Amino acid sequence: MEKANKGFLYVATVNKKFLAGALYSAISLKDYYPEAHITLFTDKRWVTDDLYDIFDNVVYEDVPDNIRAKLWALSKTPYKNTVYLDSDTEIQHEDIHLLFDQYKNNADIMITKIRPYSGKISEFPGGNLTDHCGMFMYKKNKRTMAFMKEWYDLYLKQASGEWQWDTDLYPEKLRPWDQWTYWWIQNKTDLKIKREFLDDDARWNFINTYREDETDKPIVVYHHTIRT
Amino acid sequence: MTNRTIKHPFWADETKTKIVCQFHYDSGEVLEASVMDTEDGNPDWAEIIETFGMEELDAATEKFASERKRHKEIEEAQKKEAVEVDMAGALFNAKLEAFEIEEVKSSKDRVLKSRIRKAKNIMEVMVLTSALVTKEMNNGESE
Repeated sequence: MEKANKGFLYVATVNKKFLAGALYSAISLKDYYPEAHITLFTDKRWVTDDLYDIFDNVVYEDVPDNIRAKLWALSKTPYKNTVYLDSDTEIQHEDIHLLFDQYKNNADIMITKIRPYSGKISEFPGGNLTDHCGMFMYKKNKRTMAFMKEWYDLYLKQASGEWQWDTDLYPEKLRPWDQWTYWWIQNKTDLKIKREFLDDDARWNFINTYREDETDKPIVVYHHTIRT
Repeated sequence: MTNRTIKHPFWADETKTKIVCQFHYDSGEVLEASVMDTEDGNPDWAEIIETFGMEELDAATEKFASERKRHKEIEEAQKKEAVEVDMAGALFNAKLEAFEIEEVKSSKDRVLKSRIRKAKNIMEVMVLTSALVTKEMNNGESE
């Protein structure tokens, strides 16, 4: 693989429709940003030669067959600066090439805000989810990599039920969501990383249920949020 | 006979000849009941009128009607949203399938590909996909 300092990362496991989604999104990315370097983490059984027409790098060894394999992949990024994109996203504007210039205040991770009117769950007695984990940009440094590893490890305990929490403060219905794991590590542990929100964040991750007036500039990343 | 308390009465309709209420028994059992007056005088009917009075029954009926309306509105909004989500999902799946076709996937025609992505319904996806595939096949033949 050619060395690249910055690139985009997709993960498609468990259901082949996620691979179709990643392919669809990556084609749109290359249409608007032909120089984009893209890595795909996927299931070994689904790897075919034509994937390399779109993806510059395909990782399939040891990729877990887990619905949140994305969390496993995040710490294995080949890039110094990575943009993670869910496989139900689509690039709609050439400004995508400006994304890597949006880092600010020495942040480890640049992310977008959840709109409570659009989310399935955002507020609960112990706090509220603010960060949308379907698209974000992060740096490969020790702190961030430790965070990403913990994100996956803790999520596995969360999903298996090994991790139990005070359900008066944090309802049980949070259990399926990796955004909850992220919130916990950011707010309740020493592994938290420096997070900033992208300016005019809606255009960088426009969820299909957002109101049109969330941004007055062209949408760059559109998020279809298909049901899983 | 077990003691019971009558709760949450309201008029069943505008004629005010039937009252819907709940009988709460000491055993914990709760029964939904419709109570009408009779020629000989129904003691349940008399008890409700005496305990709650006409004004309270009118107010409870109005409250029940507005709550029922609100629930119906929420239910209809949820149904509408579910239908929209299903339609959006079907449309997105059609676009994914279009981009799995070799001629579409490898096409350099950004404009037509973008039009497929922006298609508003499945028919539009099909027509545009067909146009792009035909164009790519013709290009292949001419090369």
